[in-house]
Amino acid sequence: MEQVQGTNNASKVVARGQLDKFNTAAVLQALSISRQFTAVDFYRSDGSLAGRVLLKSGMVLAAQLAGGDVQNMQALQILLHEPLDAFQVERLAPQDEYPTPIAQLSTGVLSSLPRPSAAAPTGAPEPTAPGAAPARGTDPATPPAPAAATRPTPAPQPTGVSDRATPVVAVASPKGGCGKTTLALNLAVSLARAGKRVTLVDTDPNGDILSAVGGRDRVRAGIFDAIAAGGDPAAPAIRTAVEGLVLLPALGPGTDLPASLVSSPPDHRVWSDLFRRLAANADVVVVDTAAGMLGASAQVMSACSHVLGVLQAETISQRSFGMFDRALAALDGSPEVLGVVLNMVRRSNQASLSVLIDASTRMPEDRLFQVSIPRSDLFLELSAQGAPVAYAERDATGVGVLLDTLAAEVAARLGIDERAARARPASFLM
Amino acid sequence: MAKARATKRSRKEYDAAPSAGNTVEVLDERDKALIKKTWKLVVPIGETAAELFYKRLFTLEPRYRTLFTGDMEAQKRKLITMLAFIVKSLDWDPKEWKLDVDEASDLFLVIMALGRRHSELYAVPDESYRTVGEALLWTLDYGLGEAFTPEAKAAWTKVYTVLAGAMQLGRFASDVGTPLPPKNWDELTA
Repeated sequence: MEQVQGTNNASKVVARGQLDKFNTAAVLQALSISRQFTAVDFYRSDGSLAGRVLLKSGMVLAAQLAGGDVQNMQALQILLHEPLDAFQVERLAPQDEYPTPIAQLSTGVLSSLPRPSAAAPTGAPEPTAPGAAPARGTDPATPPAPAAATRPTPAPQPTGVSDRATPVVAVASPKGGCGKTTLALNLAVSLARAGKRVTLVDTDPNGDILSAVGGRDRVRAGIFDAIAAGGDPAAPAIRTAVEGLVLLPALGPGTDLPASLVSSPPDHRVWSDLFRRLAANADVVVVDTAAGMLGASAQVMSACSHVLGVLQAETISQRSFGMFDRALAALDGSPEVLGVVLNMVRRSNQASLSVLIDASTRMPEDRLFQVSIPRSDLFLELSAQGAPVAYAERDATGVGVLLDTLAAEVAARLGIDERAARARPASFLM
Repeated sequence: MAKARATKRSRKEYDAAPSAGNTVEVLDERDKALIKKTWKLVVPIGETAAELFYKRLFTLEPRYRTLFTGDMEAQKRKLITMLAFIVKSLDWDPKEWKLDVDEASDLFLVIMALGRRHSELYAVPDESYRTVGEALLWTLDYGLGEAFTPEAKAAWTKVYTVLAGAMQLGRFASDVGTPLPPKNWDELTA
């Protein structure tokens, strides 16, 4: 391939950075509308040049792997499929003559090229040899390793939870006052009483879980205190009276969120690390989040494997149903929607019932949990006493049973409800 | 399979920032023809369309209102002018690919510079591109009615996706000399 030279004083780098949310195909897609004679260089994570693509007006004029021997469609295939780390776009000086295009940039070219076969093309050096010298003979000065791109305001990156066997469930609500924290607490208690090892994490700077169990004066510190002090956020974990349930509170007694965390809430990676470690010792991790599902909560949710939505059965809350979906869609992370629970349902109230009906018909079929939770004074009373519903002396409306049933539904959806197969009698009738 | 499985979250129909694994679509001649055709129908109702767009945008995300503190009339004109520039810039014969276009008129460079400005001056997050795309498609749907066929919608969705990608590349823009959007807005609608 004739090496096309750009004269240095007429060519210039117009963009460079890490391929964070872009991949090779996406960069080429964006460049498909450029009518400039353009060179795009792609780099591997070790900083070595992987290859270069020359483009103009939607035409691919050349593609070449570093090392020089793999060219054209083969090189383009490899560049489209090799995991690459960084890129640089350079506008080259216009030429009198351009090479014949090897392809027109199209959906087909970018999307359906088959993966290259494992065998290296004949005569070519190993394309992924580390530290491969990027020298390409007569090209302009080898571009320096691209500077790390400044990231935009922290956007959650796909993380997933590394310990796949243990689900990490964020309990989230697009607006406050939906009973999310109460539900998270009682769900955790029910799961533990069903025999699961549960770790309940409070990531809400309001630290309501401790208040709900009358524990504010019995705990020295919480996650946010530890993070602000540069310590281990898992350290403040405490056992509870419910066997198998461990609580990791948000804050210690009488403390507010440390100033440093007010302006910059913990990054999703901090949560990822914490949840990963907690997951190692639990069957399920339940995470209470601050209401709103944005900002700080989005960072938490991105570090979870599942999201359980709590929505309130009151008409004023219906707008938040759409918000729930939008907030989820805005996450780039991997959490699956475990389901949505409709809370505070009042059967005696037409409006409340209509919300229940509306939710049942509008949501995807298997999204809404079978169990809805009624509005009940019991929650208020118990919260004042600092106890979960399971501790109620009298539970005439069976709210406790409902919560246990919800826990069973949650466990079933998560696939953590292995039960020993019941021995089947020979006949139903004795 | 007896148990109910955790529901996968629903994806939006279109994604403002293409991410690894998705099909990456490039505009073809048919898309460009549709864009050109439907845009002709928008031009006579341009002012109304811009009005509708911002109304829809602020309905979808009320907090965006705070980002538009200046003269909304001027802002609406800018929107229409930018869309006109985009449509005009897409209208070229692929046989003319060798032709040179100066930087200030190059769609990619202009859009990338616009994205850079959005990122640097207004710290616009990537999520907002999705919302803006929604508002745009809604506006076209509303304004064009039957003329906004599924094919037209697909074409505009594609255009928007490609442009949003170019705008988001703007945060990687390294050259200070990259032109900002054209100063002479009136020239573009000529």
